[in-house]
Amino acid sequence: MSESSVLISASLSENESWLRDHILSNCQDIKAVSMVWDVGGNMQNSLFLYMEGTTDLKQVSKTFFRELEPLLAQCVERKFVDVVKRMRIPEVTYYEQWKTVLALLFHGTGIFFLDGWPGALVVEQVAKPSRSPDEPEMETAIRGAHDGFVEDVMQNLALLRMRMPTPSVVCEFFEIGTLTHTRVALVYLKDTASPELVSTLQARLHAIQVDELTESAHLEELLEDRKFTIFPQFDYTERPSKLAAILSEGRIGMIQDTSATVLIAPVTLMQLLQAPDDYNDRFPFVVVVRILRMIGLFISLFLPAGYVAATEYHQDTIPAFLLISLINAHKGVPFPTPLEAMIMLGLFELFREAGLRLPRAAGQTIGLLGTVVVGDAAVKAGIASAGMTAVVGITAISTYVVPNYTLANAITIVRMVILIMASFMGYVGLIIGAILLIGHMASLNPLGVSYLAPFSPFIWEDWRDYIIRIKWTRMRKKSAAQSQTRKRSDR
Amino acid sequence: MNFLSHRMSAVWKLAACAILSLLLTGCWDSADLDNIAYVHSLGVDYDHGHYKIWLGLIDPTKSGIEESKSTGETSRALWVVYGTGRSFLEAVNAIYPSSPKRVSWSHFSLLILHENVLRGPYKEVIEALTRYREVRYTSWVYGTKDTMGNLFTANLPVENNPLYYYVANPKRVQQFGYVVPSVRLNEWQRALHEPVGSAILPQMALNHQRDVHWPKSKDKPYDELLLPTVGVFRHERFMGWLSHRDMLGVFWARTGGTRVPLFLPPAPGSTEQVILYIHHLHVEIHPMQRRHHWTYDLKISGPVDLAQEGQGRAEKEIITLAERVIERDVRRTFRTGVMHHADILNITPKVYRGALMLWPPNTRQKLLNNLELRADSLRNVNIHLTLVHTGMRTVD
Repeated sequence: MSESSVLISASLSENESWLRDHILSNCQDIKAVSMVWDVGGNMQNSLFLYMEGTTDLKQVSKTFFRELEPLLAQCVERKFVDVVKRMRIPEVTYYEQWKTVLALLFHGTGIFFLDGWPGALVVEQVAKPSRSPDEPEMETAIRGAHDGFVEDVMQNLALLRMRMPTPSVVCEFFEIGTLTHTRVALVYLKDTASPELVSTLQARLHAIQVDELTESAHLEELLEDRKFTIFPQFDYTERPSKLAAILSEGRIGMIQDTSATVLIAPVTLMQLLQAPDDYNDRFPFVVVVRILRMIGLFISLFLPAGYVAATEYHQDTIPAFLLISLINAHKGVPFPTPLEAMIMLGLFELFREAGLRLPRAAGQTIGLLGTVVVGDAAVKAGIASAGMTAVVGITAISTYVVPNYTLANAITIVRMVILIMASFMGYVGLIIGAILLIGHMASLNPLGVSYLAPFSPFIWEDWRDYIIRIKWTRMRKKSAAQSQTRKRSDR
Repeated sequence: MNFLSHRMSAVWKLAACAILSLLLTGCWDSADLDNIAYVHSLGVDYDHGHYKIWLGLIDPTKSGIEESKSTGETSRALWVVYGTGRSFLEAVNAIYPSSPKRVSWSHFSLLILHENVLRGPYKEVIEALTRYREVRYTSWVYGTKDTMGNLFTANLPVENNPLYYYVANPKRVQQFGYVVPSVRLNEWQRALHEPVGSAILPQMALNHQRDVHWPKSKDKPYDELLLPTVGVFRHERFMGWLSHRDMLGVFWARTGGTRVPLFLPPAPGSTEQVILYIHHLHVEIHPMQRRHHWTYDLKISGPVDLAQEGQGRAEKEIITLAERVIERDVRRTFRTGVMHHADILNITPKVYRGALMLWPPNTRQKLLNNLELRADSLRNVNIHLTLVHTGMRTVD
């Protein structure tokens, strides 16, 4: 494409033949229309290129062509610059290089060439395929806003600006991917976000050299500090209201074309446990829910391992009456408890995967079959004890009190590892597993912010929003940003 | 590259640690919880160099949830196993080979020692028992005069199942009815080794007057487990069981305690008893030194509930009468103790603990001698009862 970087010629026939050879023959969705215009009394040929289905032709003919006609008729100098200056349509711009013009053509803009005039006019009247900003299914809220991000970055920015109509919200565009030309908008609050954090992200975004970028998960992988970890180092959201709240905390969002998910950086473990509804409810209730969520996290990580360790090695830690009912439940089960736990947890993951892959209506059936029918049948057939079924059930439910899906998936793997260690070494294995887990999480430092932040390092101000949630009016604004910048200056 | 190799070596080290840890003994030591026989209770008897022991093993099928719901049939929740030997451990080891499952002591919670053991080698038994790592020091411990076999095979009413009584919390059971304090093995051992005071051990007995408290079921009379009195130890030596009358002083001279009924004689010309419930007693001991000898003032106070008013007695009269009865009981128990050189009411530790600082180590024996109780050591017993609850009606 060496030709693409050169200037657009003044000769229409030259341009047309080039276009026919390189674009029109390959991309049949690009249409070219020849027209004759009266330019200062002379009739001249022109060419209008557009993308079928994307360029808003009605609007173009209604505004651009109607406006262009008298301007060309009165024209003296053969320059598009003068025409653009006098045109009353802001969507029209003038470009000289093939490269920029072609990139815009595939975004659905109309391109106008005139014989004898160098350069081209670009009409950005585009009706892109888009959907309405419906509430995201993964992040539902009972109260409050019910709109969600879509796959178009400009529309997403509009949803954000609707909430924060202020120049303090900075928006910088980056174009990533030599093939996809994906636009990524880096948004942050100028006075609040840590400048170091912003420049780090800017540098990383600039440094990205890839051919394609389609998913926000890809961007996440390209930006993250540590590659070998199962814990998410970015948060994500599909809710504009959450993004607005995140920005006011001093964190940074990355809105990306073709993905309805907005990446959020930096993130700590405790922030991953926050749910949108936390800010829509009465604060005493939210405190209870937050504590419940943390208990859920612990249960989902350690319950199967603890159960196996207690029943296999440390029967003395089980109260006598519980022991008796557990003995009765396990009687006749052919597998040792660790194997039983792995079978049941494996089955649960299987059902979950099946439920996810199937259409939504059928997915519920799988869930029902898995829990009720198979669980009950397994107990009756003596494959699993009732106690184990209860443990796996409680564990499974507890996993999904974690609002972040990526974190929930990470928990699944960590749980298995800890279970295996506990199966071999009892409580000692469980504790070793917990130590390794905490050690690993403490070593995570995404974008210079400690993953276990309000605990380690201990930041008291952050407890009021991360661990519990105090009254909204009392929450000192931007505490997160302050602690993060302080953290960075400490280093 | 250097970083990578460093990281890889760390990974290899970690993997090696993980694999080597599989060689640890714990790794292959696991046993499914239903392949273990759990010892719940142990009874030890001794007869001229021969030990006889009874083990109560938890029978999960008899004590499960379903069982108790279904039949209502009386069934012991324990398998009782019997073994003999020339030493305690020999007797225990005589049982192991016969057990189809591994025997675990991790849920051991009831130890019954026969009078014969208490008068003989009970210390050896405790030592051998607690040396085993699985045995907890917190099991409940009782003495007995009855034949051990009868205690273990007693036909108890469903709710009187020993598993339900003593696995749970005997202290809660004692809130009503049983007023003899249960002790744990560690508490008893600590008290045994005290240089002053006395250790007490509750006695467990079968109610021989059958059919008195519990109705018959299917022509099988129920047995009943009772805690009638306590045994007294001094300097690790068993002194004998207290009589019921002497027990009363032990009830009154304890802080806390349970709801104890006090039956007062009817007023002249009336046949109705006056019944009080005394609870949450507060006992203060005030020692005083007289040359080489210590005297003690006891102050006992607490709330009283009136259960039955009787006739012809005023409120003040009832209280005074109750206070006099309690003082009499306390003094009687004290006198019994003095006769046997035992401090049953445990009043001397107050001085021993409090004055320990004042006494240099070489004069410790002198202090202990001074602490020997005499008949006049108990000077004043001040009882102060407050009537707090008289029911819906007030006393006229």
